[in-house]
Amino acid sequence: MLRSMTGLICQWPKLNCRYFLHAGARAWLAVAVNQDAQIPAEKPRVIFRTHESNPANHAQQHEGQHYSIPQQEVKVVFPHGLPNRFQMQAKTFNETCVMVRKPAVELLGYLKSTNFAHPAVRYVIYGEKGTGKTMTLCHAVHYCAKQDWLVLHIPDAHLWVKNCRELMQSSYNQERFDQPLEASAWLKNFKTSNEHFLKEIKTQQRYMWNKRESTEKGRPLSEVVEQVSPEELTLVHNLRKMVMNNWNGGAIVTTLSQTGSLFKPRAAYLPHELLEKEGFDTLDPFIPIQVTNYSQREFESCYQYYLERKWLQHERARTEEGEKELLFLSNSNPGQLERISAYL
Amino acid sequence: MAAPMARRLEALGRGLATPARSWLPGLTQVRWSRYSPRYLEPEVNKEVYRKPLQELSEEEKTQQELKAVQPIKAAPSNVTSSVFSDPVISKFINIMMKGGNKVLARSIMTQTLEAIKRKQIEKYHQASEEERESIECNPYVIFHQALKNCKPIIGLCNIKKGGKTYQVPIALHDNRKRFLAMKWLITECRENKHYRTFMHEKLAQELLQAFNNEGPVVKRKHDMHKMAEANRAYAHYRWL
Repeated sequence: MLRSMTGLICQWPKLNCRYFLHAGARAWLAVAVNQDAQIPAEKPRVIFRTHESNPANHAQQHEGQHYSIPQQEVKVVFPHGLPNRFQMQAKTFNETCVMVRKPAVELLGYLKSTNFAHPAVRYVIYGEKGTGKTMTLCHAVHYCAKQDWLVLHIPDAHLWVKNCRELMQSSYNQERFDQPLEASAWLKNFKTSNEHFLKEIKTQQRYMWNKRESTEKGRPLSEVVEQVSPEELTLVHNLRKMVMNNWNGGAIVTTLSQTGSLFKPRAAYLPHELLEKEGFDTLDPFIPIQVTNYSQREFESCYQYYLERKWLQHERARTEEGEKELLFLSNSNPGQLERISAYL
Repeated sequence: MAAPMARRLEALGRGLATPARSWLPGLTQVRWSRYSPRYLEPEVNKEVYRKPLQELSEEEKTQQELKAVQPIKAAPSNVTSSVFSDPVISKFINIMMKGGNKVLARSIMTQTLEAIKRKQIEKYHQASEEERESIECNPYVIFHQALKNCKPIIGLCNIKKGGKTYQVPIALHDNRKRFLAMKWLITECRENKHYRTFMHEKLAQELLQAFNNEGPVVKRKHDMHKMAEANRAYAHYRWL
């Protein structure tokens, strides 16, 4: 019985996936962009904030700068998906600020020029641990949400595969298993981010939940989602179906990470190492996007941002020597820099 | 009785000004170093080396010349030339360490500092303009102030006379005060809190309370002072 589960664990351990379906131009929620991003009065060496909070307008000149996302948008666009430490940081600073970086700008450029008649293009974001892959993904999600795409954001596929508490046999196909807890949690978040789309998409067939309840053909999808009963879902199987690029009208962006992957060494970060031959062949062809450590400018910008938000409290951290030491200790790795400046 | 006696002999030893201090009448060495007494202590502070030659005083100049000829001990692994290193925090980590697991003790300390900082900064960002100035966000300042608030001024010592043991008030060394403050903080967190909370949460809460002069550790210090005050009559037993 558990054979299929273990097979799934070996083959698909490492993807965060999301999918976009362009569903016609329709006005996004009219959210007034909060224009409270200030440029500090004293002259810093590097300007670390930008007023431009629409990701569609982010270009090379904004690289290294932070743009803030209003609280309302964060609740709708990112019910799940932001990294845990970033969520803690957003709560502490009372604002959500994302840095515009080169890989993200590149990815947004590709997404802007997608041809919806062609099959969906697959992008794979890869890089060493702590370099900002999930943040790049979230930047792209924000862009697509602003552009009015339907966003299927699966934050961590490892959570679906590991440590499952409840398994139910699938009624649709006897050989598969459902995970009601993870599926219901994901469905709830999916509903939050795509509410107005769910009213439009109609169900194609009749769904029987149990002997008494059923959803008729042609009813809006929001009714199905509200039921939150995943008897029909087998998460990983459907995930795989969606990653196949035999549909058109959107894009598939995935992130490879070693964190949470099973049986892979910590230093492995290349697609070929993390995805076995089978995974690579399934994803092939894809456009790889590499995320690296901070450049000198980005590091300066991050350092100034932390100083402004009063995150670096140690009196020596404000000196030149402190900055050099932070650069050395973190090796310009964004994740490490965040962890080190947490206790300084 | 033994403790004040040993201290007097140590003072005698210092007064003798022997560089070796390897032999004193009536004392056996239990802690000693494999290094010969010629070896000098290493200087890890970068500021000292950056001073130009003119600014050095006579003493410092002789020290530097001595360093050119005398051998120097190896620096211990917990001592760094980092600008962020703090000897008090290192001492606290050592006292908190169990079974030689310095990695765990250090990570608990860093998580504690982070927790304190997060709480204070959240309070800061949500406070009004007037209150902001009074909120202290620096976890190091909070730690040092909390420790200062927990240090006792006067200690008690068990002295036996006539078959009975009396709690006699005595003066404490700085090191002993610091040690007692740290020990009380750690014991309070380990024993009197719910076992399912993390140590860093418990420590952060204790430190913030001690910073505001409240909480069980400051109470314990006050209890110690009250006992010393109550046993004032036995103070002369110190010189028995």
